[in-house]
Amino acid sequence: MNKNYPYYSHEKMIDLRQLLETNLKLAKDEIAFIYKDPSLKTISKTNKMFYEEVINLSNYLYQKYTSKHIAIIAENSYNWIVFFYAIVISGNVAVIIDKDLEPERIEKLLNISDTKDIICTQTYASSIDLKKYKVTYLEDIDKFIKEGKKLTNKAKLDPDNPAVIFFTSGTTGFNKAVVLSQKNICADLYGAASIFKPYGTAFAPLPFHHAFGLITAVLKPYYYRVPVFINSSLKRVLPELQEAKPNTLFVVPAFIETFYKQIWHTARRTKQEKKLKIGIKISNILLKCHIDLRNKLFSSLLDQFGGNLSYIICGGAPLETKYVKWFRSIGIEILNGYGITECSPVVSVNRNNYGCDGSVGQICRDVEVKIIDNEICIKGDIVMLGYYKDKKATAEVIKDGIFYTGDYGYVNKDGFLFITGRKKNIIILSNGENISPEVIEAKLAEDNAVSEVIVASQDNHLIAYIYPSENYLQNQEYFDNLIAKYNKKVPKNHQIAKAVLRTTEFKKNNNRKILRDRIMEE
Amino acid sequence: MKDKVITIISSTTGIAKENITENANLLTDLELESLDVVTLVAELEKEVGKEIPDKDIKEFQTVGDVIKYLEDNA
Repeated sequence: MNKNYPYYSHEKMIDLRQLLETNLKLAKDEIAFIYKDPSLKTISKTNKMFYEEVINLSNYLYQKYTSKHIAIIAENSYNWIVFFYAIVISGNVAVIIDKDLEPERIEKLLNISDTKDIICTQTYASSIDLKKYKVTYLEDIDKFIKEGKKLTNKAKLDPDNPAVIFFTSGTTGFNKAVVLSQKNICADLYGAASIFKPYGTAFAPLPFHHAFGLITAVLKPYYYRVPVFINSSLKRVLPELQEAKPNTLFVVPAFIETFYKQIWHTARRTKQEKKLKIGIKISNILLKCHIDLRNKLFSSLLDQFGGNLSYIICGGAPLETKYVKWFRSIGIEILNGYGITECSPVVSVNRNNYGCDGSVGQICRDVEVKIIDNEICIKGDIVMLGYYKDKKATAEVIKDGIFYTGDYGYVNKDGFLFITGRKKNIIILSNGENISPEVIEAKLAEDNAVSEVIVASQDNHLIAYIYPSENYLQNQEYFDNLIAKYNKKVPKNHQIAKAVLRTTEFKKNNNRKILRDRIMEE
Repeated sequence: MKDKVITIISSTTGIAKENITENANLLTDLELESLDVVTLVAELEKEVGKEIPDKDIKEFQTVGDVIKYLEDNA
């Protein structure tokens, strides 16, 4: 920690029940959650209301299920969160499943995690073989809460016991069941909350089946005791941002890229493109002179995000620095972070007033990062219990209590973490040289003509597969020159043999990560 | 409906109308991102005055799929 930027102070929680009780004690009448009901009417729930609903539902679940794995397969909603919380504090394990997976895949994940009990919405019931599982409909929550009022929950919570199972969605398509305890989650809340602080409503549009979408975008603001606005649908992100007027938004890079694209598209359509470009230039010059007129220069743009948006917390995939700089020019700070489901999930994030472009921020409190043979390794209470019933896979990544992330990186002298590549993407040339393709890709991507780039090896040479930006499609000469210029600046073993231009984007997984394994097949 | 859908796709994405055919794949031919498709659906909802459930969005592969869906659910 840099002594000029002390940690934000927070109470450490033992488990989620203590968090629930603390929020009741300290802020019972303050708004905890805001959401839209099915008729799109805005509903607010105070900490007291949330507490009572969770406790009553946990009473009901405790009487119906003992140490069971209970899957949640449903769209994001307030009731989703109430169910999740109640499952955990009734001593059961919440198994979090992506509702949009095909039925065969859902069944596979239910089998992997030994899950027979399911909470789902009517909408997603068709994805489940109703004869094989005990299904409870999320829409019936009020009935269960009412019944729970007459019941008690005597679950003895052990913070070290399994509480949640998330499934990783790697680029290989192979899912692993990550088991997290309440201690893991509470360590994550404390560690990340100590280095970043929101100053108003948080907006949560990410799917809850990702640790980032649930633990970071929902549980963290709840821990901070700021309201969380639950986005009802990706279709309504912009109108709901305007209604919620959030201070902080939690997203993956795809959102930022879409916002950026939409802003420029609107500017072109309304013939404001030139004005916007000039405005940004002026703003950047003034900022260098410590004059900040961004609120005035870009008020109509900022109003589209509700007018109060100060921070966008971005994680889940790499984000090009150009977006960080551009949004800063108009008055919104993107704070890049780094997390991995196995670490509950946040390892590092840029701080409110202490950031470094290109980095993924400062290491969270009580988290130890060790760089072993260039690999980022993590020690601390955020490290998962293991992969469910997969000792071999667990032993491959956790050795002597240290989690090996499979990501390469380094920490600079000021304590900022930088990611340089994925271990599994490393190219080993015949001379034994190890090349991290992401480092080369990041350099090439700095050129505006490069929309997407993947570096791979072929016959012991490096090839840059490039999907050009709109105005550079099929302009082989431009890219040959770009590669020649790049090659002059780097050592021989980093030089590119040729640029292969594509006419279509690379195939990506659901998280917008490029499927590298498919490059050679295409 | 066809003209209406093509006009909305064009105004939402900036793609010229003549490049938007019924057979065009939204992701590979029109090069839309999944979030672009969601934005497009939001615009279509406004135009046709009917909600398109999130679950149905993943069925939209081509421009023709969108037209057919709106005709069938008009």
